[in-house]
Amino acid sequence: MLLEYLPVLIFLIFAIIFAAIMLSIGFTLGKNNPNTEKNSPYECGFEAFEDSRMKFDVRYYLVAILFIIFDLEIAFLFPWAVVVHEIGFIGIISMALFLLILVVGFIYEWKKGALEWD
Amino acid sequence: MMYFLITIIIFSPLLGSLILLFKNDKSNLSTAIIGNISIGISMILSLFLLISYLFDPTPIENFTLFKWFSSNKFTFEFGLLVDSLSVVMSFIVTFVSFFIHIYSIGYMEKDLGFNRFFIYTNFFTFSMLLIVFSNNFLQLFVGWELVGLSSYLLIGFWHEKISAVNANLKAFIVNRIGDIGLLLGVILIFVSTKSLDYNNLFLSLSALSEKNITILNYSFEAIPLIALLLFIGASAKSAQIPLHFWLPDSMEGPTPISALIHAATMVTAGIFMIVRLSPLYNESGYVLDLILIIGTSTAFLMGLVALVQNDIKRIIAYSTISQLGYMTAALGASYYSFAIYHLLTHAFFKALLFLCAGSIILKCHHEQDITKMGGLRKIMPYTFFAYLIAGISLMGVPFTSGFYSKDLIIDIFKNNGNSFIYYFLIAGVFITTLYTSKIFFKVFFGDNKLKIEDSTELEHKDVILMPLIALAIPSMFIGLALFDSMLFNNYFAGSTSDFNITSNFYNNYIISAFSFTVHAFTSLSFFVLVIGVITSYLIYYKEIDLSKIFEGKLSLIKKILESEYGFINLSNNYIPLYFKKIANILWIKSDVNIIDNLIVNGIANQIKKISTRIRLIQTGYIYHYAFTMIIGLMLFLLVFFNF
Amino acid sequence: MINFLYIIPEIIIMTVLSFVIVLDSFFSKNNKKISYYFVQLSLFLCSYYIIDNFNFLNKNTSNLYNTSIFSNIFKLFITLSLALILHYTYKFLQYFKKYESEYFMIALFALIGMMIMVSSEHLLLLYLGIELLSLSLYSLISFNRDSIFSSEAAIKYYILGAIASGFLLFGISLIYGLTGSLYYVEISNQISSLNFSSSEYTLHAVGLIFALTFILISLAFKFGAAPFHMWIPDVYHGSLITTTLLLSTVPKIAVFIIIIKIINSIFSNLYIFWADILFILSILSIIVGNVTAIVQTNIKRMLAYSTIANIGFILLGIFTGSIEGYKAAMFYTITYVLFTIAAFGLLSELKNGESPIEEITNLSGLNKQYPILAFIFMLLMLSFIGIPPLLGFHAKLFIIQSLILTSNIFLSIFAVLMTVIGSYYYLRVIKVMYFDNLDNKLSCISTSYITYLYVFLLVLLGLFPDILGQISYYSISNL
Repeated sequence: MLLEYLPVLIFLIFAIIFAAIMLSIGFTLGKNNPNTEKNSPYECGFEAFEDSRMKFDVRYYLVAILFIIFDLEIAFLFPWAVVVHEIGFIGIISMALFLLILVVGFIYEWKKGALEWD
Repeated sequence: MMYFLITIIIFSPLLGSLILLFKNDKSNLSTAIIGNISIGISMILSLFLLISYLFDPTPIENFTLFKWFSSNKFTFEFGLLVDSLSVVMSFIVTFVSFFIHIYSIGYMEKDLGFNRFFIYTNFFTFSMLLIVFSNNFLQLFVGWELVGLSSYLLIGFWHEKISAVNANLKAFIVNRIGDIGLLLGVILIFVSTKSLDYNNLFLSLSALSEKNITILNYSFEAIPLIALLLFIGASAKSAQIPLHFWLPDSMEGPTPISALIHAATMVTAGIFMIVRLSPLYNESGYVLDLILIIGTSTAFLMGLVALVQNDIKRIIAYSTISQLGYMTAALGASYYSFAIYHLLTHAFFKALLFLCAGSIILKCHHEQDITKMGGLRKIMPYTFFAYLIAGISLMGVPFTSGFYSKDLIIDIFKNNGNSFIYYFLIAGVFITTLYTSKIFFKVFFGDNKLKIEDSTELEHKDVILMPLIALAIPSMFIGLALFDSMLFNNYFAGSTSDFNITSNFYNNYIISAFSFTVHAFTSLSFFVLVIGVITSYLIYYKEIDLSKIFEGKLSLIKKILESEYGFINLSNNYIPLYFKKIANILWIKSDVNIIDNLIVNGIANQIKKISTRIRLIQTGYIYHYAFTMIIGLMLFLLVFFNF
Repeated sequence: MINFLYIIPEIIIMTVLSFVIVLDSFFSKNNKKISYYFVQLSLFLCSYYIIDNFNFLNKNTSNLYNTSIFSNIFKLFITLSLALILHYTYKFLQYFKKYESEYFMIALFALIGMMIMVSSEHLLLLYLGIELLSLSLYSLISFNRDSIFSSEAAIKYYILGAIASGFLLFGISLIYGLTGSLYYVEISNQISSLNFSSSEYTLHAVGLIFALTFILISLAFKFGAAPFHMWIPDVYHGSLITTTLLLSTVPKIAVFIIIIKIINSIFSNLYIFWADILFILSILSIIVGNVTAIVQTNIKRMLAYSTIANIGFILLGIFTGSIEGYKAAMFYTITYVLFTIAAFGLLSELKNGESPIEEITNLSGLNKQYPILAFIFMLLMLSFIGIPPLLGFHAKLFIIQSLILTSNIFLSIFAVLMTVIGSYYYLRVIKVMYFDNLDNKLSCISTSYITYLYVFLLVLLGLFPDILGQISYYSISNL
């Protein structure tokens, strides 16, 4: 049975070898003479205003997490939509419940003010 | 129905005790009400049961209340065995306890530990009921230990008195000695029958009789060995020679407790157990003879000791031991129901005697020496009459309760031809008469040495006098009232295994209670009684000095008696002394040096060291933790590569 | 047709939860405690339906989800325990002005997670349940977010928990790769067809043993058995005392059931392998737990180590692989949970000045001020030690008995000796309560009759241990 996974293994090995070759070619053949200007970080052509390793607002995380949740919901909806004819009534009910629970969460975060920036 | 009834009878006192334990307010009134009602309920239900059993003594109910504990193959159940025997016992226990409880309200009134007292006494009654209704040895053992515990607590009730503490220690230790016997017996039963049920034991008796038990290469027959071990337990509880010496000391407790221990609860447990196990004892051969001899010698020798005592409670205590000797003698002759009958009547008149003694002591400001009292007849008329009734019942004057039960026991030996025992017991009657009248004459007649004022009011409060009157009635009449119905109406046929011999005895010798009474006037014991009364009248009332007549001859005997055959010295001096010596050696040599310093403290120190080290593993760094997990995983995986 | 009757308890919890979440956000600050009452109501409703569900059980193990007597008894037990814990939590949070309805909702999520764990017959569903439980616990631990310890504890538990989940998933994927199924029954059938007795293992067998090790180790992490116990002291220390109470009780029951279920229904043929793992885990846990608890001064850390030690005892019972052993382990788990709830529920009702009890010395002289509470606490400690006639005695007795029955004599001696060492730190609490001078700052938030009643019931259970013994035996034989 393990034999079925042989293609995966071959794929993995090839991927590693291929990536290694690509990287090493660039590393060995490319010209490499750095100076301070080249190494300094820049944003869109301008010089960096401040250190990029700064604290930033936790609300970014909140937005990101909320985005992921509703993004994943779509990820569930697509496969469901493909087979909705075959799974029938129960499938519709299940998805309705799923969305309902999601809506509950949505109402909660709205009322809690998680969607407001200030 | 029955199930429910018995459960209430047993657990009502326990419930009372628990309520009192958690009771917050300090009022004596609520304590008295709760303590008495809980016993009262049991008493009324027991009385009801007894009456129904007197009409029809056949029902035997054996049920399991709940499964207590199951361990592998054995299950221990909490069960109830209700038959004519347990019903009459529960009647004795609850009836006497109830009146003692009422009496205690008055007697303990001014005591600070009023609430504590009722907690203990209720618990005491509960423990005794547990023994009475148990249907297996484990439950019996639990009840047995609880009785021991509560007696310990009660004897040492006045724990600031050093003598009380010594006395309760003595009672407890002596009872422990007996408990070892009981426990070994129970274990032997369990080992040889694989069960702790009474019924199972009785059913497997025939198989057991062929069994031998080997201890250190000596082989013993199983049944006599078990019977002997159990009897050791019984003899400690019921104060038989040589384990009797805790009982007189137990007088250090409050007087109602003495009454409770001596009449209703503790000392009757041993007798009761042997009666309960009568099928076993019937098969036990030489053990019965041993019981007979121990019983008779206790009855005779301990009666003699009572003669030289002057403390009113000690005299009655020795009289209890002596009367228990009579019961044990009846057991030894296999007349179990006669023993229970004597137990019944004895419970009433002995409780009454103690309550009278308590009433006297209370009036005399806690003076207990009867040589210092006198002339209380006019001052305490109620106590005087109550004592008179209890006294003549104890002596066995015809028509009183004590007469029926005691003369029956004596007549056993007249009829089975064991004249040696017979004469000893007759002599016991003479002695009984002497010491009973001694208290009677010294306390109630003569000069009022304590100068107690004769007030116009009642001698005591109602709560003290009421129980005296209530107990005086059964002390006088219960022997006659229950004689026919209980002894010869096949009352005990279902519960004890002496039905054949007792009915035979009855048909051939007694015919009816009336003829038994009339016949008694011509018997030897009656003449001895009369002589006893006359002698004591001369000695104690007219105060003829015996020592002048028998100068020198009696002094040695008196010395022996005063030393209680050496038991006082043995139990107070020699045994504690040598025990202490051995214990000291063990303590210093082995306990302090080896166990304490080397093992206990040494190991503890080492563990503390290890503990501080292991604690350091807990660094608080998360990568250490993760690392430990990974290492652990590796180790577990490696374990299997070794296979 | 799917029959929803089996999962009515879960549906109830989920419905009430959705309802309360919405409702709560519309409540004003003073009315938020209504949510708590809703949560309690749902718990009691849920337990009613669990009892009701005993009539129609779905024993078909080829389903994803089944409701056997075993799982129902445990669900009932978990639900009722949670109700009691939340009662203490509510009073505690109210008093210290930290009340948030979210706490109770998250607790309900944890409950659903545990219910899924108990009933699942499928490894992925099991994983789902475990993660739902763990995520809820992470947020409960960080609930007291003003405290740096609380955040630290949550982060620690989260990271280590993620590693453990990784182990679990790796084990599950190994199993799927080797057997082609995630249903317990099918895996078990596959395994029983293999031959493990030969000294030369096939790749297959080695893979399965690996999978077993990974799964058991991740469960050992969730259970808190040494050497995967490192998170326990820090996490218990960092969270509120009532959260500690929650953490140390109900999840342990759920994990216990999972272990029993997995080794019994999947890996029953691999006894020799998992017995070794459990053996090492239990010995280490008992030693580490008992020995380290001795030097602790913080009462929550002490509880943490005592938990580890107790888990060692539970694993000893499972280790025997006999019905008696399972029964003993189950008896022990239930006893441990019941008594921990009582002890730490009682502690949560005390306060030191204006802060909760933290150190053992905070309790000094409790007897002089609250003799009844001190007496109750002493009873509980004595039960932990294993003094008859309390329940803890029977629990230890059954474990040791099962060891002797499977002729692990030395192990039973070891267990007894370790119990002696363990008694030290419990006895020290009694000593502090009874013989030290009164700490004047010690006072009581509220005396709770529920505690009295509860402890009284526990004492009764100890007097009649057969009730619990029968329940354990019954549920184990209806696994």
